Amino acid sequence: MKVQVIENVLKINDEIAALNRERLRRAGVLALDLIGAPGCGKTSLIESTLRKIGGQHRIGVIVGDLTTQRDADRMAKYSEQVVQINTGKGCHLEAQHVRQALARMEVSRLDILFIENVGNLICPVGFDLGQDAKVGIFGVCGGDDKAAKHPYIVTEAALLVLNKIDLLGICPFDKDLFRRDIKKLNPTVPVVEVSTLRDDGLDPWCEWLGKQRAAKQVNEL
Amino acid sequence: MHEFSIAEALIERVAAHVPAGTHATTVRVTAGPLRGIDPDALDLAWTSMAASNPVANARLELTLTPWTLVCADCGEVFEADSPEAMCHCGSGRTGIQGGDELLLTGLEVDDDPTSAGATK
Repeated sequence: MKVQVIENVLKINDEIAALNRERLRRAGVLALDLIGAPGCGKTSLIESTLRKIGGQHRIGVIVGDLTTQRDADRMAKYSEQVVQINTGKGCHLEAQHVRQALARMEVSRLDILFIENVGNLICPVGFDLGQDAKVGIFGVCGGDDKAAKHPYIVTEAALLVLNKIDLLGICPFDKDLFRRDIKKLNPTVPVVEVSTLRDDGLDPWCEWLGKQRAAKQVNEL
Repeated sequence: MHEFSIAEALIERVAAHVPAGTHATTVRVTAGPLRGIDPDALDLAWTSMAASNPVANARLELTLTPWTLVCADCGEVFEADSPEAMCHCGSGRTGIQGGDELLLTGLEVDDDPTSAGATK
């Protein structure tokens, strides 16, 4: 006997994500899902950002890793609201992880929430967490072909970051090719270049954050 | 290995749709290319879950849809094996259309309790 059904497989995840989104919307928090491969500099980007604009915005962080508390320990130097999620074998965060983390935070005392996903350019993109936008992060050390090889994050991201530009000229990396690949997949997505090691190039990134945060406030009024 | 998460979500969705007194024998899923699903990995995840959840005894039929590209020069919409495929008009200026679907598209159930798991 056939049962007629056409349904989103991730329905439950997406329903929990909608609850997260509503909770964050009510609190006026800009929530960003940061997605990138291991070693591209997600944590260092958040650290640099906390150092630079942590005095202007109340920034919280949810950080996902298979194991260890190391990222949370690093970022706790700069923010009082940091929650580490250990996914065990899970290669990405799901909406339920974020929901549990939000329960441990004072959401009403936040302006911006970074959700640092598990280091992975594939799986995290397909799981809605309740974020306002996804940000894709690439590192120069990862090679110039990573955008072309991982189209989902490029098509889904509201902004892309190329980190570790201090390694240009040391690691082989064709920046024109990297940007051409992105433009083909997503002609309108902005790309900012930073070196978190040298705290270089962070102004456009922080300006973008400020604009997103301001737009969020207007929307909430 | 997001296939394990997807298999878990799938079991939960199938269980929600199987009428009382029946069990699923075939589960049909359609996934777009952006989802990056490896059929063997999904099959392994699905099979390994059968031990703890009888729903996964059902046969899993996965359909992977091809890339759908739209040409910026001639406007043709066409299917391709790669997102970097050229348009028939010779243009390389193509964009991806859709491709992120992940759907439970069909179920077959059997109301004979003695055949539970026999399809695997």
